[in-house]
Amino acid sequence: MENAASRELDSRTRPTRRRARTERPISSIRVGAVLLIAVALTILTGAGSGSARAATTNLDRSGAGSATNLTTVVDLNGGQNYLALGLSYDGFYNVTNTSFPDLLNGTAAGQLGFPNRSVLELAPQLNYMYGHDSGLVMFDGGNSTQWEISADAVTSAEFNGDGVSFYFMLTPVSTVSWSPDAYVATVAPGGSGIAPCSGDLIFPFSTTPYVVVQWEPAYVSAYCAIGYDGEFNVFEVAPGPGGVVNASSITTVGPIGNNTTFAPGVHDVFNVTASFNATSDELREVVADASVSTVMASVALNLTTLGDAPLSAPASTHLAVAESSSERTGWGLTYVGDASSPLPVNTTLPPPGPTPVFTANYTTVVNLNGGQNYLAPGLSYNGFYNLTNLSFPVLLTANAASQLGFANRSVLELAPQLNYTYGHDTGLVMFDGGSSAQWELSADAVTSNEFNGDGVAFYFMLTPVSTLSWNQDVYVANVSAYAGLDQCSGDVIFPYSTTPYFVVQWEPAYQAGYCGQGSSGEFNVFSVNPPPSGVVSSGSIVGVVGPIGNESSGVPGPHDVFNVTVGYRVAGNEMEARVVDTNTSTILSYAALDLAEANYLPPDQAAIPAHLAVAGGASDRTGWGITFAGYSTWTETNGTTPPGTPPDCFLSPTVPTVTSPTPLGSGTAARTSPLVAVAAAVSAGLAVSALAVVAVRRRRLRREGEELVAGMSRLISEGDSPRRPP
Amino acid sequence: MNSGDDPTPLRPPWAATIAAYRPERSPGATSLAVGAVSASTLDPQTQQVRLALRVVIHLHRLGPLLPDDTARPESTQRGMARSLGVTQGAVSKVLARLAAVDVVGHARHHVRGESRRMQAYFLTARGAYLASQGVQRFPNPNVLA
Repeated sequence: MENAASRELDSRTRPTRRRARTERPISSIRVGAVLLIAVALTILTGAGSGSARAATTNLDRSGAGSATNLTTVVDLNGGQNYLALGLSYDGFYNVTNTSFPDLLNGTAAGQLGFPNRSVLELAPQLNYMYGHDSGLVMFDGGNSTQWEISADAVTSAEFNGDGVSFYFMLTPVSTVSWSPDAYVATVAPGGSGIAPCSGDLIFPFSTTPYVVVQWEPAYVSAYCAIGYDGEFNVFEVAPGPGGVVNASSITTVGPIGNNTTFAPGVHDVFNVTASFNATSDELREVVADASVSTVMASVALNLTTLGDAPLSAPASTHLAVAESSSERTGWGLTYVGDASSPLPVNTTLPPPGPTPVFTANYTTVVNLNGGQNYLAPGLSYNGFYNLTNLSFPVLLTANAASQLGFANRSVLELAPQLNYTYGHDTGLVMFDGGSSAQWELSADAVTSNEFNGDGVAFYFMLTPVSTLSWNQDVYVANVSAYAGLDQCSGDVIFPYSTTPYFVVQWEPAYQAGYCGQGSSGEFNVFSVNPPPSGVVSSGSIVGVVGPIGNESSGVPGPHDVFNVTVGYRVAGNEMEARVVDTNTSTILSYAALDLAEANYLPPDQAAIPAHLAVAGGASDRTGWGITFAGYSTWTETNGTTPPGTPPDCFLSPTVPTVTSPTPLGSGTAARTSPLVAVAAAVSAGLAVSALAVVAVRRRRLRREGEELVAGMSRLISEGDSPRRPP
Repeated sequence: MNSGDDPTPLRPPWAATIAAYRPERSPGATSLAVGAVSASTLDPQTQQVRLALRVVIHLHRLGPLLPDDTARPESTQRGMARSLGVTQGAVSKVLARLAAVDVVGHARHHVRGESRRMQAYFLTARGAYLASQGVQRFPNPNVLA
């Protein structure tokens, strides 16, 4: 699956860069030109000693007038192409084979998603994968004990991701090799309190301890967060022998900072200024919208609160600016300057508030792994059949499962392996999700001998009318016909319910088998609003959105096991869904959606329905079963967030695995901390699943539809213009 | 490190890029302005606009579709594709976009000659307005093919 994933990724991301590289010889002229400009500027400014510090210009970006020793390091504004001599670069790449940072001229920047202006590209606009390509630019900060770094950071054509980071007091081991001299960490699980969606961060190897402050706007915008109590993470790094950094070298705190509600947009330019005083251990950072000079976010922190001994400034320190690995957001710089005396940050900064901590309460409802045969009491089942005369779901022993196309393991068969016909046999298992305002429903789904068909579906907010009558208390629809959905969407079972509910269908056929290739996502979402009788009909399906999600990077095969997890919180009326290949712990697919877009409105807080369900997709020659199903609810144990408000990135970083031990005989078998600890290792890559993509197909369809209508109107008013003589 | 990629030697960051991203000009970029044009020589967006107009006019000619009507096969995606001589995928794409902006609607209907109910498409008020204009301009919509 990983190979398939790589191939998939290659085919989507690399061609642009490959094309770019084939033309490299032409760039030599431009390189010369840029060098010439850089040298000329350096000479004009009285610098040129080969040090970034020496390349001081008279550009006073701070407005502080007599601010001391302001040094411009990068300036691409106003037609300048200034990169100070002596800058050094490092980074990490595994997608594009390009060593970031990259200097883009206006045209190149425009083509790669940035506004049409010169940009020092720190990170490309790519779909996220762990170890996203990004780079950092380092420069000598001199022998001071206080610094301020200021950068103008530019977003690309999309905003979905992480921000820029500043590094103080580095003494880099080497500045000549991409990747080997840096540690890349998914920072979310690294320290208590740091939210998921923090992305990957580069930690260069250094022979001295250093400090990193990461501005993380994804916490308050995009898909990841709504109203987190801050946008900054701070990292204190104590490298080991040889300057090597690893996870144990890093102390973290975050998210911290003042509350902010602003949401970065595309092609936005932010001035981000961070200062650090090594004597007092004071760290400050301010983010201002460059276009309106308005402070959007800020933070102040005394590093002694991290509990470590104060850092002492090395004799000569390096400063750096880097980009956190982003989801579909490129970041570039147009300006970087530093001052060896900190400029005053003229902002009243509130002290950081306590970080809310949320605890997940796991409940296992089905567990057939490891020889267990656990089906929680109180489960209820329903389904639809017209071929086999069997009432699915069917519990298969290992022997029976192997005879019916599944691997030799116990399976709760949701849909049999049959040639497709409308109204395929399928079943669903329902259970009471308890009183909560947020759930995360997870299942290990197993394919049979073949893979050609549809996936599994997850249901939230059901209030089932009955659970006893197969074929009668459910409505089955071939959802391929719904506008916007791709063909091959298969049949989805819609149980009768006296409350509105929604369904999230994972549809891997969109990417695999005979049907797929090319769809922009693998999830469909259906909003169902039944009449008071609860009887669902086609008219009850009031919202359909799909396919949504990031492009899948995996192709299911026979006997594959996938962990599919869907989260929902009433407060934001948002759902997130992800699919993980349990063999490789690779995130194969991800989607998130504001359910209002599917015409689903959150239930009244006072009467939240609690039933959840998992169903098999009606498939063509693919059987689906589950070996595990469980759900979690969240409770907050401290912090500032009002009780009942779920965490921002609510998909738990811990994924129930096929090896998860679950006590038998209890309907609410708690998942214990050892499991969490085991899963946490896996979760390093998974926590950032929240960094994946929201692809709202409906919005795109509307836009494209309006373009079509405009085109038709033009065609009607102008006639068949191509046939007119030139 | 989490990647097996070989490191590349240090090089100035501008070495790879500035000229590398030059826009590529297609040699055929100006060809639309001259000569006879068939739909296949048009850019995809123009083709889709023309197909959309054909679809709208096609549905206009089929007339209204009431909730209890038995639909004509030509009002389904497959039937439309057959009638217009294009692929069902192309029709499906156009219909999805038109439905998203309320130019067409769809509902499951009994379809003449089909054993099961299928999605049949019809024009909304917005679509009907477009179609009436389109029919005046293109009495023979086949010229758009």
